[in-house]
Amino acid sequence: MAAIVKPRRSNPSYESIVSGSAIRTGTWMPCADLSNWIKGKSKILIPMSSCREVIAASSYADFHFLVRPNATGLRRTWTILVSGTGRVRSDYDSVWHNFSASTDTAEIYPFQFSELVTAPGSTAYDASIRVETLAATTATVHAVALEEAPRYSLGLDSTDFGTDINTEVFREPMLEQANAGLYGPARVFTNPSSFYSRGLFYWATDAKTGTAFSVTGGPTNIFPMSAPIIVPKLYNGDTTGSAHVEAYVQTSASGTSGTVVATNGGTGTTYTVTVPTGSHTGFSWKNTGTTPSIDCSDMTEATGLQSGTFNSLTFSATSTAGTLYVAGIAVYFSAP
Amino acid sequence: MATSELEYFSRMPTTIADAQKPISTGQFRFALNNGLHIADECWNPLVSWVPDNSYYQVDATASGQWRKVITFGPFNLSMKTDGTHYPIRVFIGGSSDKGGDTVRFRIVIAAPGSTSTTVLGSGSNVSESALVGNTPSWLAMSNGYLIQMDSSQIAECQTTIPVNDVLGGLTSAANVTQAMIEVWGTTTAGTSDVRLYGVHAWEVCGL
Repeated sequence: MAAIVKPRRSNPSYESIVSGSAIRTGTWMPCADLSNWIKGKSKILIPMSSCREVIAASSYADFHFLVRPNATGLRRTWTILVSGTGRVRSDYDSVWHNFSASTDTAEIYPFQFSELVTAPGSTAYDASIRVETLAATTATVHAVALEEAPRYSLGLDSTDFGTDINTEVFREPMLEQANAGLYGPARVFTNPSSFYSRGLFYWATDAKTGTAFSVTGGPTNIFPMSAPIIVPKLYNGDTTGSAHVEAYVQTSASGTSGTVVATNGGTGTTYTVTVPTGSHTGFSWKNTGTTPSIDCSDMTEATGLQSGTFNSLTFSATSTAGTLYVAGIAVYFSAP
Repeated sequence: MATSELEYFSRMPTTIADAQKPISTGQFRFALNNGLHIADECWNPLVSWVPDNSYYQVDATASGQWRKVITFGPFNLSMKTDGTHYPIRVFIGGSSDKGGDTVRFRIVIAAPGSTSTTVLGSGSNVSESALVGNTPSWLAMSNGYLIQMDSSQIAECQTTIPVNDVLGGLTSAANVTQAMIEVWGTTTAGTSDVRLYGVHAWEVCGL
C-alpha cells in the first residue's frame, strides 16, 4: 500500500470523463496523485512575518502566533531571520537550538529548526517561541515563519485521506473501499476542508508590556503600511471569503479597555477586536467575533487579484482609561 | 489560468463513491473539477512582512549600486505538472528618506546561494520598482507583479528535506524545490537612503 505524495501536482484530464469512455488507469492514476498532492504538500502556517525585537545580553523575548494547523502536519519547521548569537526554542517541544548569525541585517541568513507534532489536529493554538541571548551577546529578531513540512507519503486513513496508487493500476476493479480506487480521490475532491488552513498575515513583538506596541488614547495605526491579503475562492459566484483576525493584547489596569480595529482598504468595512476591562493580568488572544470578509482570488487574472488590485487591512489600536498593549496580530484562513 | 473546468468548487455529496453507488460520469466530472480547483487554490503565502512603525534602511549608495536589504526563505515551492513553479505575486512597500529623490528596489527568487548573481539580470525571476519621494507606499512593479524562475534556475533548487509520515515514526526524506526571496535597493541620486516598509510574496496559480 502506498499513498505517495509526488513533488509535482498532476493535471488530470477532465475531458476523459465522458459517457461512453472506459474508466481508465490513465485518468484515475493522475486523480489519485492530485488528491495525494493536495493533502500532503507543504502548507504555510505563518508566512515570513515581521518580528522586530532587539534582545539585550542575558535576556529573552517571547513571540506568540495564533495558528490553525492541518491534521496532516506531522513535522513543522520554524524559520527565523535573526542577527547576533543566542538560542531559540519552540514552546511546543521546549528543545533549544543554538544560532550564531551576522549582525549585519543584509547578510543574515535564515535559521531553521523543526518540531515533531505529537498530537495532530486542526484546532487553532498559540504557537510560541522564546529567543534568548547569552551573557555577552545580543540578538535581533527580524522575521519568523512556520511551515508544515510536506509528506513523502500519506496514511490510508480518515485523517490523511491518502489514496493507495496501487489500486489505480491496469485491471484493478472499481474499488469502493476508503483510500482506494475511485473513492479515495472522490472523498478529497468532494470535501471543502481540502482547501487547507494557512496563515495570511502575522506580526509579533516580545510579549511584555515594556516592549509591546502600546497606545494610550488613540486610535493609532500599528503599521505604517496596510497588509495585502486575499483568501482562496471556494464556490460559484464568490468574490469574497472569510479570514480570522485576532490580536494578542493586555491592558495596563483592571479598568482599562480597548480595541484593535482592522479596516478593509477595499470596502472601508471595519472589524473590531474588543479588549474588555479586566484584561490586565496577562496577554491573551482576542478575536473580532465576526470573521472579516476579504476578496477571494480570481483565476481569470494573472495575479489572482480581482481587477488586479488587492484587498488590504489597516490595523489601529485605541485604549480607554489606561494603556493597551498589542504584542501580536494573526490573520489566517481556516479550512471550511 | 485555472486548470479546472468551472473555476469554482461545486457542492456535492461526499458519498458519491460509497458502497453500491452507481458510477456517475457527471458526478465524477464535477469531482475532478473540484480537485483541480482545490489544487489551483493550493497557493502558499510566503512573505507577509510589514514592520510596525519602522522600516529597514540601506544607506545611500553610488547611483546604480545595488545593495541587499533583506533575505526571506527558504521556501518549498508548489510545483506544477510541467516542472514550473506557481508564480510568485510580489509587492514592495518602500520610500526614499528624502523628497524628490528616486530610489529603486528589486525582488528576486532564486536558489539559495544564487540570488546575488541573478538579481542584477533581467530574467523573469526578478522584478523592479522605483519611487520618487519619502512617503512610503506599495509600489508599482515596472516589469510585472509576478516573478518565476526558468527551468535552469529551478534545477538549481532541487533538494531533499527531512519529513515525517508516521506519528512518532522515523524521519524520511522528500524531494522539494527550495528557493530564497531577497529584496535589494539602490538610489539614483547617490545621497538618498533606501527604506523598505513591506514585502508581499505569495504563490498564485497564474494564467
